[in-house]
Amino acid sequence: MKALIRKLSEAYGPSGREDALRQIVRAELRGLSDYISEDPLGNLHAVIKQKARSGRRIMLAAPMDEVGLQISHVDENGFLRFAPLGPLDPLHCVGARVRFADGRLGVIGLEPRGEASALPTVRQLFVDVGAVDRESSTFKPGEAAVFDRPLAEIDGRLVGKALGGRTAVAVLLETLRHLKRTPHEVQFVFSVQEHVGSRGVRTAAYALEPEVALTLGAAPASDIPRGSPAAIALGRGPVIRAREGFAISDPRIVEWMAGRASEARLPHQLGVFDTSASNPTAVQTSRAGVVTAGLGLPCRYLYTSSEMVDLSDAENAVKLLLSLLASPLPF
Amino acid sequence: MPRTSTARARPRSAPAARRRGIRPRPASPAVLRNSLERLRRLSEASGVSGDEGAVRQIVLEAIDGHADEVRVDALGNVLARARTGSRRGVRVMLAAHMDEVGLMVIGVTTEGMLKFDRVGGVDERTLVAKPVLVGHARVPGVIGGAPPHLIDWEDEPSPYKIPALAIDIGARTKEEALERVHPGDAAVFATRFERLGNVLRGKALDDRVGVATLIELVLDPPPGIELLAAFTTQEEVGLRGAAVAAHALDPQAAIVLDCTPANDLPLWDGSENTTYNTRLGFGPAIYVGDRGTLPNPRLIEHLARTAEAAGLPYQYRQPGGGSTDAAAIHLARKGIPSISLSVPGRYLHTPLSMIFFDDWRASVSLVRAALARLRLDDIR
Amino acid sequence: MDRKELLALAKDLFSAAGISGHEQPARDVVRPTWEPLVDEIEVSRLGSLHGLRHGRGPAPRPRVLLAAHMDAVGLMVKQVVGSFLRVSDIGGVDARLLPGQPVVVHGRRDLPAVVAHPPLQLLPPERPAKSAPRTHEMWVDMGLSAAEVGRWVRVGDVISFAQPPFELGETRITGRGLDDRVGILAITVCLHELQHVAHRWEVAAVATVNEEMTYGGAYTSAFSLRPELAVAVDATHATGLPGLPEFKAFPMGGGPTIGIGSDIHPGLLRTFEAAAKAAEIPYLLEVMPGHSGTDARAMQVTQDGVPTMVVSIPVRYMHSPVEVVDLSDIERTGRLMAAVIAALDDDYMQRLVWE
Repeated sequence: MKALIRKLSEAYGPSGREDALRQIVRAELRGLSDYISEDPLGNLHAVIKQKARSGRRIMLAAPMDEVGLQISHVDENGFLRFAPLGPLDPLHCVGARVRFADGRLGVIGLEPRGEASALPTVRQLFVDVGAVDRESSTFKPGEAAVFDRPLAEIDGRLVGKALGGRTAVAVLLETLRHLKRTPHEVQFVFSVQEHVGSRGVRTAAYALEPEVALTLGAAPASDIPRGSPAAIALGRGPVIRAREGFAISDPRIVEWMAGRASEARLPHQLGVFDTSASNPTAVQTSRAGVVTAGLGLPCRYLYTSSEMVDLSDAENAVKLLLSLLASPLPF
Repeated sequence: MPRTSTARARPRSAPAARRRGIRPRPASPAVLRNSLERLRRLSEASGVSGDEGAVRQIVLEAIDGHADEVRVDALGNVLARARTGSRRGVRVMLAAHMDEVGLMVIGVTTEGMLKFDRVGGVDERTLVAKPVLVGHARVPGVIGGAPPHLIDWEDEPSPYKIPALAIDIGARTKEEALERVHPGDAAVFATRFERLGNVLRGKALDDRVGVATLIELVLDPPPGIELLAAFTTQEEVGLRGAAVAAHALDPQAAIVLDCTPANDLPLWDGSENTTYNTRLGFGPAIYVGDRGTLPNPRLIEHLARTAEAAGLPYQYRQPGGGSTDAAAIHLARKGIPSISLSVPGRYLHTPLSMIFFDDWRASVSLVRAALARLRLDDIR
Repeated sequence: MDRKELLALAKDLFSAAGISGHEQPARDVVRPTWEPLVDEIEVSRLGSLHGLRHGRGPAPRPRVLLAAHMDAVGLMVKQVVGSFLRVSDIGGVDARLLPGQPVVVHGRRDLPAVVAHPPLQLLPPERPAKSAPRTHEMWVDMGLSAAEVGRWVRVGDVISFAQPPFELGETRITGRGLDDRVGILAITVCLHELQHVAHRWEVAAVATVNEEMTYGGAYTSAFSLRPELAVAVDATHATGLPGLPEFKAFPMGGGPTIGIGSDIHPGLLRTFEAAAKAAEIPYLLEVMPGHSGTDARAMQVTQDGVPTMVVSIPVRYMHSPVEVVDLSDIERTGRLMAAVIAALDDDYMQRLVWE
């Protein structure tokens, strides 16, 4: 699983430019599902058809895209001004190395400022690509870049860019790989444009008409100095979200997931994320409604170039999903 | 001298206490039931400082026929001499205040809303969005707040202050309101008393729990002492009842039964809370010094020794601010050796205070045991 | 439905918890109330209650959807710290009204609790002493030991205000959850009225879920019921508290408000005004320049689009445990909707055109 996560994490895939991810995921999906399709927005659907009358239509979704930036202007000295693509925090940009689709690199700089203690704003940032003037620059407005950072392993934990979301993708792939028996139609959705407002899953849910949906993604961990150790911690298992943004998870599904995890003696955590960049509302309110809850992978330093996850959480998430899918739903 | 550690609180083992043969007899189930029912009535009664009539009625009814002498003095205190059979023992005054903090109607607007001010130190943060009962007729009303939809959240809203609040009794006009209430009417929170296992919740447990304890003592006084009970008025607005009661009773010692804040909440960052005042579940709180009183050291010692001998939990109330009727009592006449013993309570002076049943019962047992052992030598 | 029955039902409804996303306790009150008044009843996948009354017109009959949301604002357990709980608010609760508030924690069992705002010395020293209490500073206290709390409570449990309803003066009632159980009551009054009306249209009475968070019930129920017309019955702000912005609050006891603005189809507005005048029901116009903040906004944009209307009942101190309503406003709102439904004929949709 680690090799797969490495491949996914290091791949280039800002929101709206998920082609590289789609290729990797497609290759991994080969032969695993009853059919694979790609919808007009670029989501990949891999579907296991329903095998028993007791089955339901269950959608599992994970985001392929990552936060990035988009060039807004090439200045006369060849510096690039940019707009954030997704929840990019200017604080975490300064000094970061970024990579464009074709592999060209740049580094993010910060204008000299009067009040050095104030937080930087996006308008004060620029990408330095080593250019000397606009005329010789090969960059155009609209080109997107992501953090450039190889995956590292620190004391058993993984650190890398886009790691939370991509680990969720890996969890889905592993779940599909090991899914031997299920009464359900299981719809694995590898979604696009999650970080700009959950746009991919919205259309995927409309197309696939699931009855139940579990949305996977990174869950911000708070077990850091002066954080809140009692809240979400790395290595304590996947996070069953009772609330994510405005979406209140269906209490039946929370009960089902927590109950199954306890029965299977799988570590798990319950989480309430009232301010959340991700938001399964689009899935929950699709068509006549979808019974929805989020499953999170604890992730420190979310949306920075060094997101940190614990592999055991991903492994336990796979086990939990397999256990959930193995039998008919209790509701 | 009292030990300096305020953390000690665990009861000594019961066998040790039994060996000494002084473990106080626990109250019978019937007595407990009556006491709880009385505490419920006391908690729910309206008795804002200066308007303690409803509480006074409950007290007078309860002790009627059980005391040698009962009178209501000029300030409305109920003073009673319990039946002890002997007049040779120490003359001890026990005081508990009947009054509670609350509100008073100061005027009615043309829309029929009641403007109010507070009586005593009601926690201003806890007024908005609470139901209240106004006047002797206990007219129901609510204190409303602005809907969040109409608040400008760009500017952080300031805390609600009393001048911005009003009591809504459902009146459509000033005239309709004046048919039911009048300026000068007192108002209290409309909180129902509840027991949930060990947790007792209700309004005005400060100091109706002390009143309940004192009634129990009058009904079944400890032997060997002369018990002078003072159910005092106007404690929350300046210890006024206690001052004249102590003068009139002229006791040789005084114990004040009160309810003191338990600020035993966690801290925001998980670090140790060192300013809790008292803690729920650690037994009655013996005072070692507050803003108004430095208790008699021999009485401190007497209470602590008694608790240890009887295997009862106790804790020391952290010294510092706050005060009780003892502040007035110990300065009466030539001076009276005094101490306070409080049941710890969370969220006093708010709509819903919370005490532990076990802390209360331990306080009853402790006072009873301490009085039974009290000799004049103990305080000289 | 007389005043006594309305008052009894109001007390039942206001006593049910039913925090957004956890509406079952409210649904359990509405369902048996509506069942005898409708021909079909069902629960949507997200938990909204659909009551269908067939009309007298030829099938397929056009359908009007009456929506009121049964979810209420409240709190949710965010973190368990020993004996105490950290919470976040659901649906928009002003933190200033939390200190001292009695609540019920809906864990493995219902646990009475109180919200505490710590004394200043227990708050961070850098916190300005005079600033208003914040939700994240509060502790919810059940008086239980850490072990008991661990057994009964977990992250994600919802918390409701414990305030029981009671009558206020002659015609008013106070409690929690009036926003928008008053709408449910008005629809119930309407369904009672319709027992004596030979209406042509099919009526879908819908108690929606999740209005305070996502309008999720309205989106999904309107999607599946595909109504020709939809009416959101909600609470609006009542005057009485000084300092409210002008023209955004309406007197109590003066009848419902009828919305005008982008969420409302102007033709439908004319129909409501005409019906109100004919039935001599007093009303006020409520200007809703942008988002009405009601289920109408969601229903309007489902499927091919639905002409929508917003009818509101003035409520004081909204989103607090002591919301106040005048029962006469509920009755008038119900009667107004019944009058509109009675006036809907087979050709109404052909006449409902944009100018």
